[in-house]
Amino acid sequence: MDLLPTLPFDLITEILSRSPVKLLLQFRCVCKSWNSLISDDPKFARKHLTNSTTHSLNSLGFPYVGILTMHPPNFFFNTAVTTNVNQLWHHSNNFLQKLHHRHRVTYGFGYDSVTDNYKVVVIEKTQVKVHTLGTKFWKNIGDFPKATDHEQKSGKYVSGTINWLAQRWPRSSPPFIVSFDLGNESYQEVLLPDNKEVNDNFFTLDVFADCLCVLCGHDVWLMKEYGNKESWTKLFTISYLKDPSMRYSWTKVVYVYEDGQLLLQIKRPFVRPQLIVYDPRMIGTFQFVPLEKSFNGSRFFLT
Amino acid sequence: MAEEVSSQMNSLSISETNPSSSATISLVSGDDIVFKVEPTIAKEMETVQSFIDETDGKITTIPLPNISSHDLPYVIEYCEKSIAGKITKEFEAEFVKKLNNEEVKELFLAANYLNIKKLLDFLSQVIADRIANKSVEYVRRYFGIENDFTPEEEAKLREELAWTFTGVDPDDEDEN
Repeated sequence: MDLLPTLPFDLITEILSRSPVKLLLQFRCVCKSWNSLISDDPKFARKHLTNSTTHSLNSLGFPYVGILTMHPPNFFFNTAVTTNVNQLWHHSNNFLQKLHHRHRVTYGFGYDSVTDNYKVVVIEKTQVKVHTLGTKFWKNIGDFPKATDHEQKSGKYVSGTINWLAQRWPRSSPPFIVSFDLGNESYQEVLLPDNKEVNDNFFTLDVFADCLCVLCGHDVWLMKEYGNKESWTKLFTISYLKDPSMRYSWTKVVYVYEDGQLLLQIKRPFVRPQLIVYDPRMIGTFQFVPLEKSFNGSRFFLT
Repeated sequence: MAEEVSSQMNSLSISETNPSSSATISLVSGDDIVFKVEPTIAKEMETVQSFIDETDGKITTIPLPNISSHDLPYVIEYCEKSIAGKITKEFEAEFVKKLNNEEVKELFLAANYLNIKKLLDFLSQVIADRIANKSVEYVRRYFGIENDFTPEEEAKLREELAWTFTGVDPDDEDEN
């Protein structure tokens, strides 16, 4: 390979701010300046976040794709990519390690535009702690709404809020979404679409096209305007979920292709998770994807 | 060769722009080939435009010593499409298909030198995509970067990041 004049560092920054997270982590090994750019530069982290959202990676359902990931048994959160997270990690390590062995812990991570900073939220039972990047402490916030049941480990990040599915006892009451506003550090409840035909246990919460999205039974609903119950719109029905053999399956949107096809991950009891390419416009069309192939694209990382 | 290229570029740009606009601008590549372009094209290149502005439009021949006659037509083509509002995903895909990794890098440097924001953004993404499946060693070579870690430091870092170098196991990483 010919050695051309090397690229100025600010141009390298432009390129790396468009690289997927997993790759960036690998690139920390390139040289010292790359390592510190990727792991210690808040400006770079913000730039990367902006570019990630522009390229709609949010469809992966993580706030900042893969920035924090569960990685037991070593750590509650794994080492993350950006600076933020590294700092965050160091400061939160002890706290989180203590939490690790306890049950009923859930967390969320996201960007707060009010303070232009990142925050981690950890909830244990009803106790809530918030950590702001750059500070060295965890702040106790008023209790998580009582008698809620947050089955999902990670909250879903949408427009400055982290969202969890929740339900009051008894179980027959309708589930709802608990939304934590990172800006003013307070809660509100967000209502789910009315769907009486559906067994409540079948709700899953995700992010799709920068909006909250629930898979409810075999229907996919999108909350087009955050917080406005009237804006829930049924996008489509995943027809194969009507099949009785899929009754206990759990589905997650992994990726949305530009042509509108979806990559779904399906889990069923006692069966390895499967990936399916599903075209909502063609009723009943789906194809199973071999894992090697579907994970080739680095953007499918951490789903 | 020089005349042929410039007249070709000239006819291309005329078809896209207003014929009543002022005199054409001559861009001179590093290897001394003249490309005549419409002023609207020059406007897309901030570096060129500010040069023209500084001289109150009196100077219309602009030397671009850092840009070769191989790269300049690509830049001009992109600017023309951009003015015409015809930058589509299809066009961009075709545009980079012709370029190998080294050429993309050269063009990226040219876009930076000329300060063409859109082309710069676009090529950043192209390069990001092209290095997506490459090894750390390839990336060092591609960017001409010297590894300044000691072998111990690098080994330690690689160990810490070992999980990123392996495939994703859907059984372990899942959140539920």
